[in-house]
Amino acid sequence: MFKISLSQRNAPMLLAILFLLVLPLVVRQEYWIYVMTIGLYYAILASTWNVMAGFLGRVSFAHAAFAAIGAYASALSVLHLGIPPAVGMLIGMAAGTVFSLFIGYLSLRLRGVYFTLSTLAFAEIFRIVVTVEYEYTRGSLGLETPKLIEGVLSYMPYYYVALAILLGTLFSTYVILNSAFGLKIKAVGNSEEAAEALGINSAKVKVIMFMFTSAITSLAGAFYGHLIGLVSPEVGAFDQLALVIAMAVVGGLGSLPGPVIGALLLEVISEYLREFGIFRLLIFAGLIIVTLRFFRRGIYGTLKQVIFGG
Amino acid sequence: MKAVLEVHSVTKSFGGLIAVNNFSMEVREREIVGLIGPNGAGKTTLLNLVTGFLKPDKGRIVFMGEEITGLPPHKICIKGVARTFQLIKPFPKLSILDAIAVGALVRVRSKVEAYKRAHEVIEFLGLKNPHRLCESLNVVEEKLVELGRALATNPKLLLIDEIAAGLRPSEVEDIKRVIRVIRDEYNVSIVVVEHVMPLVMGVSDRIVVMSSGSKVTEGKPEEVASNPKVISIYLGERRGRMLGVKS
Repeated sequence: MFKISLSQRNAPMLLAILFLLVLPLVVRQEYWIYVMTIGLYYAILASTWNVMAGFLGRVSFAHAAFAAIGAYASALSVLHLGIPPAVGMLIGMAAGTVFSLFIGYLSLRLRGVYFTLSTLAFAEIFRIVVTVEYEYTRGSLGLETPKLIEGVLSYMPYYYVALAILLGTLFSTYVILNSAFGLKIKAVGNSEEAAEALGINSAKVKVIMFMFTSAITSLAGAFYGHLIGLVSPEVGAFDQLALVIAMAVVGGLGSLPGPVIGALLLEVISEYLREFGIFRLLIFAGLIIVTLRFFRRGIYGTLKQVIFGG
Repeated sequence: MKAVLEVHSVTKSFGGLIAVNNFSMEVREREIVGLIGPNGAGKTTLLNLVTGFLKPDKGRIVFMGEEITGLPPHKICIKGVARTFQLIKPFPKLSILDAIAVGALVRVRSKVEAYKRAHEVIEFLGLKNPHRLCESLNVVEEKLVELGRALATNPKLLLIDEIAAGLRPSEVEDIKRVIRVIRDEYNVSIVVVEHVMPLVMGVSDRIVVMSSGSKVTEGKPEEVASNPKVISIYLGERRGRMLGVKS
């Protein structure tokens, strides 16, 4: 169906993948490998958020909440059912998919900003329920979960698991966007009414893509829980969402590499700005404003324009 | 001739305003029907009712002998009704080719097949350089792409909403020719909603006149044009221009 040829066009992409593959072997500092692993986690979230926002024009405020759903579903099933974390991650993914079907079905028929508002409401409800249901979730103390890979102290394996999920996300997104269904996605993103007049069930397209992105987001969230060994309501908090949005926007909305570049860059910057604490968000908010005002295409889009001139 | 579209006493009101009032009409096979009337007569509302963007309060809409009243827009398109929009709704970030292929996807599953059909439509409409983005097109090209998308869905009935608005007389002549050729090549019935009299008078087999949501009269273009009722409610001030078109 699709050809992948070694042309000049995808040479940069292959170089980037190679770079990410050898990065931990070159860096060799556990701390920075850990930071890059977290960066990859954010890259997955920013990429999936970008599919809804950049290609379908639907801004979801429940994105971090879906990561939290995956994390809690996985942690709880590992603790109560005694299954290995890898299986727990799949349960987390399934939980996110089911939730997204309900929320998507109810809210994606709404036009414009109302979808965004209802996802915000859902995210807040979820966060409050998790904080209040102390017996199950240990509230804001957080739930301790087993690590994904036992008996290994290095973060190197985690890095490669995260990279595999990210590459799988990007590859499947690429395949979907370039299929016949992808053409329908772009049509709905450009003009919903025109798409409907051309026989496209826009609600169905949106719900399917919301389920797809939420499934991957929950999987990533479950992975994150088993990476740091603690799941707390913070995983789904608003500052996490704001960070993900900043990464996608600064990197470049509506492109596949953009959010990845934005995520890795902002995560590294965020480490250097650690002493500012929550005020880092102010800096990122400033970055969003600067990007939207002067470089609407983000880092990736602007670079591409400068290098290829179009 | 068999009726392709039958509208049976359809009524639609918005709050206290009755936009379409107990309106009936039909469109027969391979017929071009002009739908005219002053601003606010309810022409576009009627189009929205037929294509499912609005649901009628009362009345039935039958397409090819099958009731389609209240179906959602995409299902009505699948049945074979296509439309263009008065305020065009382009896909700015898609290429001409992609935009038209979207329309073809309602009939074929594979992308290759959709592009093949899109190329045929593009050639038919004489659009050049189909890899340009839709946001970079001029008015005429935008309208042709809008028409091409609708054609690519392979409709039995095509509803064209004010396509000539804002075009130069020479461009109107081109569109007129295109509409006729579409009817002949694609074997499709067409409803033309239009304010530009030279277009609608020149192209229609039959004209339906609407005013304040109701049908005033219908008939051949020359009959309608000489109907005193029509002249008084709608064409009074433009009578001279009308007569010019007729000759």
